[in-house]
Order: sequence, then C-alpha cells, then structure tokens
Amino acid sequence: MMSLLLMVSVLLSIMLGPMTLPAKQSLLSILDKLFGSDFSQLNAFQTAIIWELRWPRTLLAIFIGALLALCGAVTQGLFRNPLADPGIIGVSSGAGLGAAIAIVLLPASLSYLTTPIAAFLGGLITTLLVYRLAQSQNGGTSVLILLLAGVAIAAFSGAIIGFMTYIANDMALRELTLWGMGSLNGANSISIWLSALTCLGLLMFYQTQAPALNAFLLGEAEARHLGINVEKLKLQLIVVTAIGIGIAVSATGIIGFISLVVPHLVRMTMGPDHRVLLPLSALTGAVLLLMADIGARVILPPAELPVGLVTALIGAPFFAFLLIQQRKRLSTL
Amino acid sequence: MLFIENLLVTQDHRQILSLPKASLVSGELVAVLGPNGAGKSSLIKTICGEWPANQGQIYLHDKSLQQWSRQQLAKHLGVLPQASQLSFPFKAQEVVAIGATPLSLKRRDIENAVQKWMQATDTWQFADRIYTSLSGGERQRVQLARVLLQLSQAEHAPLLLLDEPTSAQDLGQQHQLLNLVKSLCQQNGFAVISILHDLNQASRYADKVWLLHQGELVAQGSPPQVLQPETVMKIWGYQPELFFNSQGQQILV
Repeated sequence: MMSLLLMVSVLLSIMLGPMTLPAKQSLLSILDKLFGSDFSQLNAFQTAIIWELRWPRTLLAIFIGALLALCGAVTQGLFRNPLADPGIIGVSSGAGLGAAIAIVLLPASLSYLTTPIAAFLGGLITTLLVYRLAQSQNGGTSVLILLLAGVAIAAFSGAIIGFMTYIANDMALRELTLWGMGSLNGANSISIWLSALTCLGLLMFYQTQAPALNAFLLGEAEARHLGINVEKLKLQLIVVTAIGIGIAVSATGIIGFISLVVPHLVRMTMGPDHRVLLPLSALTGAVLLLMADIGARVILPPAELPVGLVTALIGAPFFAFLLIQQRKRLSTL
Repeated sequence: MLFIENLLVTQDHRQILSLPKASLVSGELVAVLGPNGAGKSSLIKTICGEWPANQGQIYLHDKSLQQWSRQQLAKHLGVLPQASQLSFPFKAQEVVAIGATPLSLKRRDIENAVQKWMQATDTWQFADRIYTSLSGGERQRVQLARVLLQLSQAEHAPLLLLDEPTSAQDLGQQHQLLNLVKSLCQQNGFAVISILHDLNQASRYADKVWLLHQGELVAQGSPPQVLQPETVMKIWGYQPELFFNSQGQQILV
C-alpha cells in the first residue's frame, strides 16, 4: 500500500510545481528514462525541468524522509520513550550547530565533506549529552529532562548559529540561510548519493538489531538478561543515529517532526515491533516528506516555501496532540 | 547447581550484602525472607549480574558467572523483575515472544511456546490485548511467561530469580503462580530463588529459607527450622503465634 503511495507521490512530485506538467506525459518521460524509449511528447525544456530540477529533489526527499523517520523510530526505542525525537530533544539542533560552524568557518571548497562530518559530530555529542542527562535512577529516561535538554540545546545552538550568521561572509551567509529553514533545494548528486547510501546502510544495520531493540524496550536490565550486550548496543545505536541525523541535516538543513510523526503513525497501525516498524517507517517517511515538499511547491506559486516550514505546520499540532493524549501519564513524572 | 562463596557487595563504602556461603541444587525452591532494606533485592541483582560483587564468586553449573557467554547465560538464568517500564503498545503475546528473539528458536516453535507458557501463567485469554492496558498483576504474569519462554531454551537445569512474584497478584493467582513455580522445580529441575513476604507461603512452598537481616544471611535451612516465633520477633519485631494445620505444616499468625 505504502509503496503504491510512494509511486503516486513520485509522479506528483515530477508533475507539480510552478509549472504543471501533464500526468501522462510525465509518466512516459520516466519510462523513457528507464528503458531508453521515446514515448514522451514533452519538449526539451519540460524534460529538463523534470530531470534537472524535480527528479533530484524527489530522490533527495525520498532518502532524507526515510532517513529521518528511521532515526526517529530508533531514537524513540533507544530512549524507551515515544516522545523522544531527534528534533525535540535537541540532536538536530546540535547537528545544525556543527554544520553551521563548518559552513562559516571552514573553507567552502571542502564543504561537501566538512559539513556532513561536522553535523555528525554535533549530533553525536548532543545525543551522548542528552542521554547522560536524561538517564534516571530506575534505568528509564525522564521525559521532562529530555524535553528541557532539548530546549537548552536548541537555545544554545540558536545563539551560536546567530553568531555564525553575524560573522559569515556573503557566500556562507547565503548557504546558511538557504539551509537553515530546511529545504530540498540543494539537491545535487553528492547529497543524493550520500543520503541514499546512508539510508540503505542504516536500514540494513537497524534491521539486524531489530529483535535486540524490541528486547531493549522492556528495560536495560531485562535486555541484559536476555543475553544482549546492552552497552555495545546503545553505543552503536547512538553513533549510527548521529551519522543518520548528521547526513540528513547537512543535506537539507533541519526538517522537523518527520522523525516524530512517522514512527507514531506506523506504530498506531502496525504495532511497535521494530522488525516491521523500521522498514515501514522508512517508506512512510519517504512518502510524507515527498508530499510535504509537493505542498511546499504548490501552496504559494510561483514562490516556494521551505519544506521545513510545511513539516512543522503538520508536525507541531501532532506533537501537541500526543502531549494531550499522554497528559495523564506525563503529569505523574 | 548454584554455589555462592564469600560474596560481598558494598555501595559508597557501606556494606549492602554479605553472603559467606550458600548453595542451591536443581529442583529446589528457596524463599528469601527479611524485613525491608535487608538486602533481598540486592541479592537478586547481584546473582543476575546487574550489580557487580566487590568480592566473592557465584558459580552456576560449576562455572563462574563471568565465564558464561551472554547467550548461554540468558538461556539458563532468568529474572522476573518486580515491575517493568515497558511503555510501548505491544500485544501481550508479543511481549512473551521477546523471550525468544535474541536466542535460537524457530518461528513455528516460538508460536507454540508462547501459547504454552501463556496458558501456564493464566494469561492466554488476553494474548491479543495491549500490554500497557493490563493490570499490574496481569503484566507481571505476562512477564513471567516471557521469562519461562526464555528459560525453556536451556540445555541444563535453569535458575529462575523472582523478585516478589506475588506482590501484585490476588490470593488465587498467588497460589496458582507458586504452584506453577513449584511444579517447574519438581518436573523440570528448575532451581528458584524467590523473594517472598508471606511467611506461611514460604513454609508451604519453599524447600529452604534464606533469612536476611541488615545485609547479612542470618539463617538458612528448612522453613520450620528457620521460622521460629522467637526468630520472627528478633528480625521483624513482631511476636507471632504458632499453629499447625491438618497437614502438620506450621502457621505463624
């Protein structure tokens, strides 16, 4: 079902934008590209729009959406807390801070390399920090501290990013602003390949750890008694997730709420078993981000909203809804 | 099968638990008794490796616990915690099935084993309900089914640690659960260490009693040997009356 939805969204993403292309011809153009045929009657200009502008962007949306949703699902499992989201607990801000420092302070010619690495390091340090902070005596993580840590880290990163903006030169400033709102505009072959490989790598790695993650949800001690090397598992998950978030943030900036909303939707329909949750979250994340990006392009034509704005518009009310739903449980903490 | 020697656990330079010598053979059910803060939970946590012992050795099947591989140990040592913090909406039977995932059962076998152990713990009727919606006692029995599934993969007699297994159960379930544990000892050779609060339950089901007080093992032996009215007075500060029921089992009121 989800795969079908993904295909439909891909087609829509190719068709829609400031200039709408006919559905049938767009579909034919994809077939042409795949099989080297010549069915499509689009002119060269329209073909260029598809293959130069919309196709790379579509691919990036798919991989980043999948990556964000995967990282969200695993973060929630790692913290044993359905409200833990890389955006809300500050990991994305940390990665964003790393990326901003790299964009402004490091040479622009190397930025395709330094930005992802710096974003990864920023994400890693914040994840470790938040994990330490939120660890409570009984082995669980405290929601209150998680959210407050997120607020603190976001404020701190915001301040440093502001400072970076202040001292940045024109070129770095342009890049910083473009990327700060979360946009799929910057799709290029490097970012697409990088996110595609990371996405596949993470999916495969997480899948091997899915049974262990299920056991981990019972509690650390319980997982240990089930023969799982808990310390190693935690460290691996933290590092790998920080890589995922780092790559995502460096490619598109901070796109919030996909990582919170998607795993929840999947859990509501399919249950929390990670063996099912992880691949389905990846697929759903891809569809949702693609849809959000289509929305970003068609809401105010010919202008284009940053996709981060659209996901926040959908995601923030959803987060509020979750809070209301869990109010009873949370107020006792 | 379990042999404990010179065990000493300290925390912040304060002695929490001292156990010079204790042992357990296959098929035995030991009740750990003692007032609050006597070190009962610490004992469970130390035996299962959650807390490192500062001194001493614990041998399971003549092999020190450190020498066991994680997987092998998981098949032979199971722990039922007092409460679980699971907050994700698993179905009860999915929780039980987690008892098998890191180990080595075939999928068909897992399904059968889940049903078997859920029936044994009287939880099969809510196999499809969401775990977080169950009552405390029901959850605890689901967890017990999970631990028993885990131990059903053992190659030698397994050791089962129970941290207050009856605390959340009603009277009928308490006895049903202890009967189940007892039959696992007698028929499957389980060795069980269980924290209990009810002295008469200990007399009725346990083969041995380990009496803890202020972190020390002050007495061990058969229930009638250990649970004398004067001992109870000394440890709990309550003077009970001693009766005998029709089967000659002693009862403290």
